[in-house]
Amino acid sequence: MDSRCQANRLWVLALSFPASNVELAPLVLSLKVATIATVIAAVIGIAIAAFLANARFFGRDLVDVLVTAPVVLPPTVLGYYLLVAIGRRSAVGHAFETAFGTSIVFTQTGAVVAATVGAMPLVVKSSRAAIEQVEPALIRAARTLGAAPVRTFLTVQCQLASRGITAAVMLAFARALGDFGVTLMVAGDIPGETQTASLAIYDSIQGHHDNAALGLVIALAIVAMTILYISNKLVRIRHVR
Amino acid sequence: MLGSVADSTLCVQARVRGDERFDLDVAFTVPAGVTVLLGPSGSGKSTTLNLIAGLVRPIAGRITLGQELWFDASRGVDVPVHRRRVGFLFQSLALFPHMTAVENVAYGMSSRRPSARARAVEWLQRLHVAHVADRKPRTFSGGEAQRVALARALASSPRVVLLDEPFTAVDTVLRRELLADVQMFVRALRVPVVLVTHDRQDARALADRFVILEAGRVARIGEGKDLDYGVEWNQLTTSS
Repeated sequence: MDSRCQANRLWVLALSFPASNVELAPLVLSLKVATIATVIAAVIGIAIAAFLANARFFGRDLVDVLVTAPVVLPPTVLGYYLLVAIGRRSAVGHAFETAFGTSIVFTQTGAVVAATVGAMPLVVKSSRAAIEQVEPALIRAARTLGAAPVRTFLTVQCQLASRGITAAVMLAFARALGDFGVTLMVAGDIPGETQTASLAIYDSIQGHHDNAALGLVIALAIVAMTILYISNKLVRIRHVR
Repeated sequence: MLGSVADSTLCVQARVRGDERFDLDVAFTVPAGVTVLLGPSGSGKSTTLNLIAGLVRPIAGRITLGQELWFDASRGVDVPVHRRRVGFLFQSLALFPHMTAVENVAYGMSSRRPSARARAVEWLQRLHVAHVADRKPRTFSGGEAQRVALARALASSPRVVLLDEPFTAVDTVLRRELLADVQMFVRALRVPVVLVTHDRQDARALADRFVILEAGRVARIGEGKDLDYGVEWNQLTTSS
């Protein structure tokens, strides 16, 4: 079958695809994990970005490299490091298990950790760039007007960098929504428990369940593109105001 | 606490690591009233304002306001910028572009006081720009922006006022009006005021005292009435 026939077949399949064939559980889990991971990555990531943009200290570049590393590390390597850091034998993993009676790895918590670690560098890098673009004279003006560093950040830098920060958070959400490798390493691929949409698509294709895969592919693509569309609109509205 | 004029004298004795040309090394006092800081471009005038405000950290020296120690290198004291309560009118004005005029002016007022907005509007009225109260800086004319920035600098009850070439890029008529406003409001505050300018008329109109900087050092200190004697204005308005 040539590629044109295959493409036509896919289109026909997509257009005639009944919505009831979409398995919702992995999609819902993906959205849940991505939302929680994005909130965590945004809070911690924006704080780190603000610190790196404003503080001058020895080793700043090293901190920047450590925070950004997840972007360049292969997912398997990052997943391995996470397993070592939060696995059942690690201090963190052991403490978590003692406190909550469940482990981090191979649970939904693990999926959130994996998505957060993958999304965080995008928040830090893009937010820092946006924060650093704010005119230094405005920051000096705020300080002389009695604003402490945190107030200066919240009322001046953060406000003026809001477009860049919003874009960074949206990018992080998209990254968290589509995470595959790190999630597989840290949370596993347990249907109904840790199987996110990306993992379910992979499983469906491996098992030759084309319809199930296509349903998730379409649903995931629509969700991701809708979020990006809305975020672009929000950014534009904020800019116009 | 009300301080007497003597209590509010600003004493600056500081050394700041400069560029490859020279370090800034200055020592002078600024009593209540206007002290004009003169000097060729690059002589260290803006750096001097920044070190008074706490935006630049000296490598040595001591800065005091009355009995209050702001900076002492030997004792490791460095009061942060936001606790010095300095009214700084920047050359670029540095109005917050995302805030209205009234929000800009109210920014430096204590948020604990409920009437910050009303007082900010009062300051805008005093400076004849109440009509821009709810507009953002991108809609201001040059003169309106200057007045709003001046209102913001003065409205925060500053203990020291720093004016960095506030009348550049305005026409003669507006300059005269702004000079009158500065004279009236700044003098009413009865605090030390440091004005950086290249303009002889501005200096004459406002100076109670003057300090001339040359290559990062104090070259001369004098009374305002002596500005016309022995001051080489041509040298002060050219690059060093």
